[in-house]
Amino acid sequence: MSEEINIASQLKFASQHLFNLIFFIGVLYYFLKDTIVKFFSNRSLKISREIQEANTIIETSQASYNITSQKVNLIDSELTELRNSIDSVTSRKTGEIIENANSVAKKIKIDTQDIIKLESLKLQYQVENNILSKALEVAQDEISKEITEERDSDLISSFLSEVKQNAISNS
Amino acid sequence: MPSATVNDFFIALTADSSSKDNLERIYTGLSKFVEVFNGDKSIRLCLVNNIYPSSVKNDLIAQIVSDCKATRTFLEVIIEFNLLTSFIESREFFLKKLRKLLGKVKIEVVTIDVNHEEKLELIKSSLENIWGTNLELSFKEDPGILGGLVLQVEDKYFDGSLLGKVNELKKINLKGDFNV
Repeated sequence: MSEEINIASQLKFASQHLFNLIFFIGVLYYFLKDTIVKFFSNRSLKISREIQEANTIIETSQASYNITSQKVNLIDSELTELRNSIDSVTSRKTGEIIENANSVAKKIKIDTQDIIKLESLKLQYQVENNILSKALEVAQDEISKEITEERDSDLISSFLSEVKQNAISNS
Repeated sequence: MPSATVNDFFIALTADSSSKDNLERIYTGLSKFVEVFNGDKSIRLCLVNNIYPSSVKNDLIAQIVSDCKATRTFLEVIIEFNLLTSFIESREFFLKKLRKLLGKVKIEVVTIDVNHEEKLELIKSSLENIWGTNLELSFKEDPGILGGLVLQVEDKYFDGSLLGKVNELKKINLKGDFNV
């Protein structure tokens, strides 16, 4: 019997507190409902605005990124073209320079060969002339030693008869 | 109006002096003048330079050409007409023209020795045989010609010297061909 009384008192106690709790919740709900709704509504609006701004920024950034990316691609392709063009121009120029150098070298070689030929001919003639001059000098010395009045007179007579023949044939 | 030239005066001079003796005198006078002019620098400068008056030049000419009045007058006239330089430049031409009128031939002979009379006589007789007796002969000594002789007959040049023959050999190269 005492157990039954204890359970009944406990139930009574519990129901009182349950009532107090429900009352308390009711009071809270009555007074704080608008404020909390307003707070969450504002927060929701703010968050949605920030999300919108973030989306706008993301879109702008995406657009900027796209433009920049396009530009980078363009620059990259131009750089590639430029590199290719430089490579082709360089290889062409190098080829031309090598070709020119080869032709100049060939020309110089031919010229040098000609100069060597001419110089050797010139030297040969100079040597020959020197030998001839010396031989003629020796001959002149010998003649001046060998010439006598008699020989000179013979020479003069022979020359004058030649001149006479010449004068007769001319007249 | 065209002015007179040396040739005009020269023609007048030779036309006036028609006799051969006169022409011979003129030739001798002009030859002497040319010889003195070529040989004496001070006379040359005096006659060519315009700062000297005509009277000084005429006195000089009178001293040089004392024995031929016609030559003297001719020279005075060309000085008066300022034509002396033209005459001097063409002196050999006028002397040659006079020699032609006189039938004279000028011959310059170059030998190695002008003291050998016999040889000179031989040359003279041979030259007279070729160009006649009216010759204006002059002998010049040049041992450099080695032997033989060189003749300058008016404009013609005859080289019969040994030096000339040696020089001809210079045209031949060591192989015996003529150099081009």
